[in-house]
Amino acid sequence: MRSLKHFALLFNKIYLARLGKDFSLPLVNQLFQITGSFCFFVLHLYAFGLLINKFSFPGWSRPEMWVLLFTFEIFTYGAFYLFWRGFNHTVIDINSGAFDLILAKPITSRFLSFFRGGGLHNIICSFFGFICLGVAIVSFQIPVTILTIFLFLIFLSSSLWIMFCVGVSFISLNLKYGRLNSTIGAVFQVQEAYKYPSTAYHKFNLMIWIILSSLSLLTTLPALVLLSKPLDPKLIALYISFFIVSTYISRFAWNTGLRYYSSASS
Amino acid sequence: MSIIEVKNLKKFYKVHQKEPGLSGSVRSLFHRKYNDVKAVDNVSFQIGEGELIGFIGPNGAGKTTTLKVLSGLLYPTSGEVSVLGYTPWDRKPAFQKQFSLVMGQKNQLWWDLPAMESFILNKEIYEVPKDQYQKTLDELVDLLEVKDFLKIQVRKLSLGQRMKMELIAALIHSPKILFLDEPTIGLDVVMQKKMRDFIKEYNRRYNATIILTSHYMDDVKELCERVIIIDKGRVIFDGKLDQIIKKYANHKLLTIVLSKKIDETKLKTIGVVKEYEYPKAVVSVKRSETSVAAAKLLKDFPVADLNIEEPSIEDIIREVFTGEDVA
Repeated sequence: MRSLKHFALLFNKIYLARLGKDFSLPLVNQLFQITGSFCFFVLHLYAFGLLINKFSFPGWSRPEMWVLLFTFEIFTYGAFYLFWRGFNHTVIDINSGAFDLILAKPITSRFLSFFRGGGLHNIICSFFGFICLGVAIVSFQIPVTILTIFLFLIFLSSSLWIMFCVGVSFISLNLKYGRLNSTIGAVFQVQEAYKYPSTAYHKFNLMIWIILSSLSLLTTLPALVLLSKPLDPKLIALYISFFIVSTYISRFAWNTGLRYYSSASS
Repeated sequence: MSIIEVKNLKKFYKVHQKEPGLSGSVRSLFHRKYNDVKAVDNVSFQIGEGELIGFIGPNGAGKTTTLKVLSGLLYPTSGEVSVLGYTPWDRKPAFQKQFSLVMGQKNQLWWDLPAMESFILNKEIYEVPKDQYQKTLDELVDLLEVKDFLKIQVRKLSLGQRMKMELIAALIHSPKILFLDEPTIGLDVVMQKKMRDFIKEYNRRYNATIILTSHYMDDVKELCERVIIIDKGRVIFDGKLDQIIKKYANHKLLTIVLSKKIDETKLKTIGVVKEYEYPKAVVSVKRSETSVAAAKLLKDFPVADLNIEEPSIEDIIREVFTGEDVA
């Protein structure tokens, strides 16, 4: 409990300090970032609207697809805010040797490496996502309760944790093999898989279905819970397995990678 | 009682060797060549509480690798290490809260924020109680004279000011052991002196054990009573600084001021002429032959003044590193 409190306090300090740093930069920097993110957000909505007008996904109506899209936006920008800087900088630090100073600190290196604060524009876009989700719920008269909202947030948080574990597993390879720039991109390229509902992949063979569905559940499951749609036990089992396996693999990969870490020359 | 014990420490690496050019890169994709590097090869030593040790050696000798093993950053290939009773690479928080690592060429401060923000973060990471943090901070700020720079962005500070802030960040949790890896590198001579004074004072005031690596002999001469010399991964000397002179300096330097100009070849009959620009000459002679050489100089040469000196520590260390004779 004390440990959780300590992490929460540190998390708060780090992210507030990072926000403080963003605010200390010229205002034009913030305006550029927010404008760029907002334009991307709006274009994304527009393109998605065209897509769902043309195609349908089994078991998902158009309003439900909008809910899924906004869940995707909240999740993606949330992940960017929480982890993007950490993933990028950890790879750089491992190769420059600056990672030494993280490793020497009396706190788990996974925390200090990957939780380094996020950009203001990401949190703003995540907030837009919540606003749009609220508008969609009201516009399409989707019945939600306190329980469904609570479960939505729980599953969203679990999905973020799974995303974090997937990222750590990829980035851990840098500890042994040196600079693998592809690992950063790979972590976020998987977002294409969770943009669509899991039913989109029913035509693939079992192996591909497992991989793609597992990823798609990162957003599908929170959306399903919010929409009070019936949950397929197979998908629940897949999600829980993904949670457990990714947690274990990330821990194993990171600790194994640390044994091979050779720092950089001074 | 030793708080650092190192026994038969070895750290070997495999380093990838790549041929130059694109074809070399493509070939290395399919067939990678590796070189075995013995960064640390059977190193053993003990360090007691409160000691200030100079850990010196040429580039690539294994100094920083040894420090990194002692601070738990690297797993050794073999050997035993105990620091404050802990095995460093277990990375137990209770151990990590008791030491600090300062690397002259790397920084832990947040670049775009005032150093104060980094201190506060370190306070939380090390779980330093508020009143202890304030007391330690006030003492360090006072010792290092940086009160006016605490609220300035780190990227706007000079190198010397930044190094001082790095030291404060590293010492905010009052560590018992300090690993300083080239802390004065790149600093001007005035700032180097200030850093040395600070390190000496910190060692005296808090009885902290300090291991210092440096290429500046002034750092070692001024701070360290004991030095460990490492070369090619092996300890070649471990003892008091003045013992280096007795062990390795088998020559002495005779500095002569001549009253009349003479041919350099005549001086060569006394010993090895290190320097000759009339009226000053410096001749190196074997330690055992010093008195005979001095007597001969005074008898046969127009000497206005004669001074007999030990070779400088720098020259002796260079001789140790290169294997060349200082004479």
